[in-house]
Parts: sequence; structure tokens; C-alpha cells
Amino acid sequence: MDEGFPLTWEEVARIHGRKIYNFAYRLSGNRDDAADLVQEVLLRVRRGLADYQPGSFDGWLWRITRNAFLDEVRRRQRRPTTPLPEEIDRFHQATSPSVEEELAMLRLGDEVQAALASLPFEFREAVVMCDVIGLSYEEISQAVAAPIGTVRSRIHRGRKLLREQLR
Amino acid sequence: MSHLDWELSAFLDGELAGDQRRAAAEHVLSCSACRAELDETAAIRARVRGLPMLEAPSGLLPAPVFKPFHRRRSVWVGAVAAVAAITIGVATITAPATQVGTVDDLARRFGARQSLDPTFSPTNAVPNLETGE
Repeated sequence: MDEGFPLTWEEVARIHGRKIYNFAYRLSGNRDDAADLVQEVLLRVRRGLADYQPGSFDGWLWRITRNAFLDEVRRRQRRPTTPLPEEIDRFHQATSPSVEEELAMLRLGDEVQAALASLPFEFREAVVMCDVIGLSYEEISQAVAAPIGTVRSRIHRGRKLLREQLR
Repeated sequence: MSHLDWELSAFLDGELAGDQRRAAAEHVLSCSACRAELDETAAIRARVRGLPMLEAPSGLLPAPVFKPFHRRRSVWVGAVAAVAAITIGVATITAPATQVGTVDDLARRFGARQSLDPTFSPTNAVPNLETGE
């Protein structure tokens, strides 16, 4: 994505809003915090669009997202907490024919979510960016402002820690 | 070659360049410990990737502006297209019956009548066809 910047902030919101929400949710384990973060990120995107320089859009967007997340964590002076049985209720009301499947999936997801919550922030962040958002190592390196070698080892170390948690 | 570490994740993520990738693959093939590590890494990677992508709460993100309009319009476009297709289809099917083509066409169309009535000529029938008389 190296073309200039043809998007409005609303388009950024429509295209990336859900991913930002999931990023924040997987890092914080809290849906309200995730929603707050989406609003904050979109505000920053709106302000930042004028200064946007052609380059890696994903690197830019996720750097903003990550910084907003860290600022929020610092502001609240509390560690991200673990989730979440509310998810189950939400899906329970769904009329989809595969409710059972979704419930099973969510329960499995709970374990992974709890394991993620146990990781140090840098590892959790790297794994979520790679496996939930689908960023490349290069994009992650730009987003977290760390050398690519650091990103590689964080992702692998993060996966190893998850394995230990889920064993 | 010593055992692989971060290369295992990078291998799975498609983040190793040609030579590195080949070297890692060769090592994994000859080292059962690294092969087991690769499998375990792949399994945990798949679990994280399998986390459901949640919907953002309604009202948090701007609604897709043109979607309802597009949907309604596309119904009309579809309807118009269907009517057009039917019209064209009907016109195509009925065309041979209302339009005069070559003498051969006429001969085919009136062949039966001609065989029953030797005085009947398709060429003579043309004016009658067009006026409907």
C-alpha cells in the first residue's frame, strides 16, 4: 500500500475499524476499552491524515493505534485485564444456525485469549499484529518502532509462551 | 547447523528469503527435534489465527454510506435487466415469425403449406405477412 493517501478518515474507519477494535480487544481483553480505543485512534487518524507521507499505510496506521493503546494504558495506570463471559451471551442471542459452533469457537477462543493476556505486552502485541491483524514483519517493525530482528524474536518467543500457557 | 529458533516462526509466516528458507527446510527435514518444534509452533499459530474476528459495537464505526442505496438500486437494475432480457429473448424468438428473411427461410417456414398447395409461393406471401393480412 504505497500509493499516496486517497482515503478519508471515514474510509479508514470502514476498512480498518473492525481490525483496530479486534487488536485492542485482543490486547486488553475488554470490549469497552477496545471501543474507546477505536474512537481515539480514529480521532488521531483524522488529525494525522494531513501530515501523512506516502509510505507504508499499515505501518503508519498501526503505529498510531499502538501508541494510542499505550497512552491509554498509561493514562489509566492499570494493566490490561482478562476477559470476558459477556461474549457468550452476545452470541447466545444470535439466530444463526451455527450458534453451537460459534459458542464452541468462543470457548476455545477464551483459552487463547487468557493465554494472550498472560504474555508481556511486547510479545502479546507482536503476536496479535502478526496472527490477528495479519501484518508482515516489516509492517510490525514500523508499527512498534523496533528492528525487524526484534520483531522476529518477539513473535517466536510469544508463540512459545502461549504454548506453555495452553499446554 | 544448530537448532532453529525464530526461523521456525519466520518460516511459517513466509518471512524467510530464498536461501534462508531453503536452509531452514533442509534442516527441518533432517532434524526431528526441529520438526517437532515446527509442528508445535504451527499449531499455536493456527489457534491464534483461529480467534473469531469480533464485530465492533453498532454505532462505533461509520455506517457504509452507499450500501442501502446500492442495494435498492441493484434490485431495480436487476428488474430492468430481467425485463430487457425477456424482451430481447421474446424478440429473438418471435423475430423469425414476424420478419421476412431469405427466400430459404420462407421456403422452410411455408414448406408444409407449399407441399399441400403447389400454387402457394413464399415470395407472394411476403406482403401479407407484413401487413398482417
